[in-house]
Amino acid sequence: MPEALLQLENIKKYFPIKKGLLRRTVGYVKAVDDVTLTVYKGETLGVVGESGSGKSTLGRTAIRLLEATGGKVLFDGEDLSRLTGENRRSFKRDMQIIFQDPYGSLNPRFRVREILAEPLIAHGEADGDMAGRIGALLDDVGLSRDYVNRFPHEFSGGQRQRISIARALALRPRFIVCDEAVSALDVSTQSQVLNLLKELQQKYGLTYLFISHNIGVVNFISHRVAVMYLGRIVEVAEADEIYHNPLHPYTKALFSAIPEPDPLLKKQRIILPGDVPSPANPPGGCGFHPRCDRCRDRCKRESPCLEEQGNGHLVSCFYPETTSHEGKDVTI
Amino acid sequence: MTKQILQIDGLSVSFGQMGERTTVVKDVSFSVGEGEIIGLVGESGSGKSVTAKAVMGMIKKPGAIDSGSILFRDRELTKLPPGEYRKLRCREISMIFQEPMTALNPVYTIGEQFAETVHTHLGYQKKQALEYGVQMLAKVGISMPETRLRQYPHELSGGMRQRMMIAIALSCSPSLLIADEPTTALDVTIQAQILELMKDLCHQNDMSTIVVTHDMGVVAEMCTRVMVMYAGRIVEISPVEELFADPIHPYTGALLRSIPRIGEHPELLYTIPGSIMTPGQRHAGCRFSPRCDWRLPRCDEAEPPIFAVNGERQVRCWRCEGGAAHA
Amino acid sequence: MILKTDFRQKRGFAHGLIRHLPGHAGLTAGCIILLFYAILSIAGPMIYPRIPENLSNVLKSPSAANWFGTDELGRDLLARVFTGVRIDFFIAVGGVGLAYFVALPFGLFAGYFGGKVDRAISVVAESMLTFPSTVLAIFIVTIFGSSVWGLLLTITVTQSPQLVRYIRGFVIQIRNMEYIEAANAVGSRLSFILLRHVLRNTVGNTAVVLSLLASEAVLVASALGFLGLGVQPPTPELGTILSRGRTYFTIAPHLMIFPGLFIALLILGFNLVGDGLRDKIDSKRTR
Repeated sequence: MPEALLQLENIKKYFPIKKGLLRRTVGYVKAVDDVTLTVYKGETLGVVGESGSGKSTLGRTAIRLLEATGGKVLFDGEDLSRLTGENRRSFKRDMQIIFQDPYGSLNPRFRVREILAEPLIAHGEADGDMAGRIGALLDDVGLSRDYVNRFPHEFSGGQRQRISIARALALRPRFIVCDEAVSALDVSTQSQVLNLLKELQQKYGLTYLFISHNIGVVNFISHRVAVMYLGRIVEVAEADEIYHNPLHPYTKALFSAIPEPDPLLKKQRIILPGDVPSPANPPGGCGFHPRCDRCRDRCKRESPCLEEQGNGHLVSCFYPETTSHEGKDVTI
Repeated sequence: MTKQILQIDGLSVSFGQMGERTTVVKDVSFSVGEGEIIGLVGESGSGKSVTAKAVMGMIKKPGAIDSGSILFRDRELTKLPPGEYRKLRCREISMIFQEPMTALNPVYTIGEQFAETVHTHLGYQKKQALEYGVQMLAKVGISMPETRLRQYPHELSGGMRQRMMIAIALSCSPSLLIADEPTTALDVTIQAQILELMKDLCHQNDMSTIVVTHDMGVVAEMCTRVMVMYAGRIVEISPVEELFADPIHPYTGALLRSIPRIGEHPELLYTIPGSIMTPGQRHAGCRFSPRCDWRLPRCDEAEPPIFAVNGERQVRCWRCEGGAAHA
Repeated sequence: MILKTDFRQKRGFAHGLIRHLPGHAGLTAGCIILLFYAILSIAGPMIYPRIPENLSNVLKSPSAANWFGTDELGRDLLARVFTGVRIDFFIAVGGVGLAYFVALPFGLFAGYFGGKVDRAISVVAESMLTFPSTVLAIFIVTIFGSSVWGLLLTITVTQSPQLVRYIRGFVIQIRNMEYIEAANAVGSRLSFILLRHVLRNTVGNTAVVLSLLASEAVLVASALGFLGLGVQPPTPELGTILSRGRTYFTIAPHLMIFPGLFIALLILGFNLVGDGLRDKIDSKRTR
């Protein structure tokens, strides 16, 4: 039975919308709206979604970079919301994040050694062999130790992401959120960095929450995949399972929309009507109902929950596709 | 043989100060037939955007076209005075950009921006322009066009703004459309809509299109012929099915192999070793040779020219000398 | 990432001049000027420890003996000006320097924390800014007194609100950068973030603002001197000398020309440095 490392229970993250001279709260952007999710030790859980899905907010809330408006975050069984002060800060050692923008996430005035030293200084590990530790981190991410005194602008996008990864590894965390970590990179650089992330996961037994809008990338690196829409999780399953057997209408449309690099593959494209709605003004009932071709009355009034369909495959829909497992082995 | 609407021959563009110029596009030659949708593919630093801008006459100081010719319907664009070029833009050659938010002026309603274009190029007065606007918006699939025309860009979603850009670009029925990363900034489901729309409009209006992108999936969806660029050079030109089924240039092959495919679960992805050469770096031979698995000694001595292979295909690789089909 | 800070209001008048010169001509010229003044400030009183009066030699035009001529008490004007320069220079540099230390914590907190803290600080700073600096200076100098230190403190008070606003602006830009988020994610303490991340990234822009505020300070200080509210005679301060020269302008214009020139040159020096630095930062950032 796999062990749970991170448990999100009924997580909500609402941002107040303030208008007027007196800054009165007129409404909320429900970026994350009641998400329950478990990430198991050593796995990579991919999170896919489009803009407004809340996936980035979810990632930041999971490591408490943002405070959840409601719900609980349990790390290794401990309720993080109960921790205060120093204890709270020290949990940051275990949970780290890699950002999307290789240009903005590094202080342009810090040399590489300062960037990598920062986490160590922050947690009182600044004495001892800093140079050695920093050198080892650079080795881990495949950068030369000669680079310690250089500035970020002297590196390419892919190299800067490696520096970000090294920084995230400095405190030997157990859990890392990759927030669109390769989305800003070229295809050829992307594959290098993805391989690096996979290797590091095996070397250090890391657990990843991999957030991306690029479904091909997510499917490569993830063991399980969660699909988000309008702040909610609509489907969770093993990577292969969710691709071959999507049960939620949105998931089906999402996968069919990806342009495949194969001109001979004439896809049966499901083109969703309308636009991706805004989380400031979500539709009532099931958030997807205005664009859904199976929408019925119930969908407009009630909101579905995640339910197990067998083999760890969860769907949040009143009328999902029926599972078809005939003759297919679900690979773990 | 379809008529060639655009013929580029030996185009080179460089940037920089006096005495210190770096070549970012070198010796680019290709042609576009009437009604054809072709892809111009490359990663960052490939020079694809600069090439597209050169066709539009949008290369500004410190950039300049060093040499080569751009023939559009038998007119030499490189020698065209700015006034003439302005008349050409939108009327004959139109462009849509990656970021619809920055390409549209935020302080004018989209109706006003649409009207400005059709007024400048077609001479329509306000009422006529707005009526035409409603037609065009409906054509690109924007619901409630009359209301939309009165809205500002920030009030529309990304997908709608991109449709708006397409409507403006197509308003004067150009014969050539250049789409620079048209769907990169859009969500996947919206991307699907926009790609379908573009394909439909291109076929309806018999309009040639150059799709500039780094996304091989978009190329496979949209294009009939593909040009692959690397480090400012064209390295392969090929019909789309053949390019994917049997890539000849080592870079093309490597690029296709690096893409993670859904449903496949390799332990590690294929990676191209090393990284792209910066434009300023001096190298006598092929720009891809340091990273190439099939490198010959010759590849470091001189840059290969383009060789014709198997009829329609063209590859810039020493291994294809004499029409040899394989690297 | 292009990080351009909008200095449009704080563009020194020299900008139009130096725009067309190649490279760092403006910055170099400005530095030379300021260096000259710095040397004068130190060396001036050493070269001219005493400036004797000579009532038989009053109001003489510039000559070989007195390069700048003499004033109404027969004193060598050059000596007076060279000795007076130090006061204006000291007041400008010291006043603005002190203003930086006063404004920094307020600007940092207002920019970084936002919300109520920001509103409280901004309200105070902005209400002070509703007064034109010279008017405010006149008011403040009556409190602090007409001495060198009084003037210096006046400058500090008049320049601080502007500086608070500028620093706040720089900090706000930085606060939204992803590397600050990254610092939080890594668990850095607030003091580390403020001092190492935020502060270091404001230094360049702040240097520009400080130069331009210094040039304004010279103007204010000499204006006060001119109005008789500044340093009192016989202490030579350029504005005071200028004021004295007013009475004799028709017969001895050199009494106004030379001090005026030296005031203008000092202002120019600060402006050139400020503009030059700003151009240098902008070109570095535009990548």
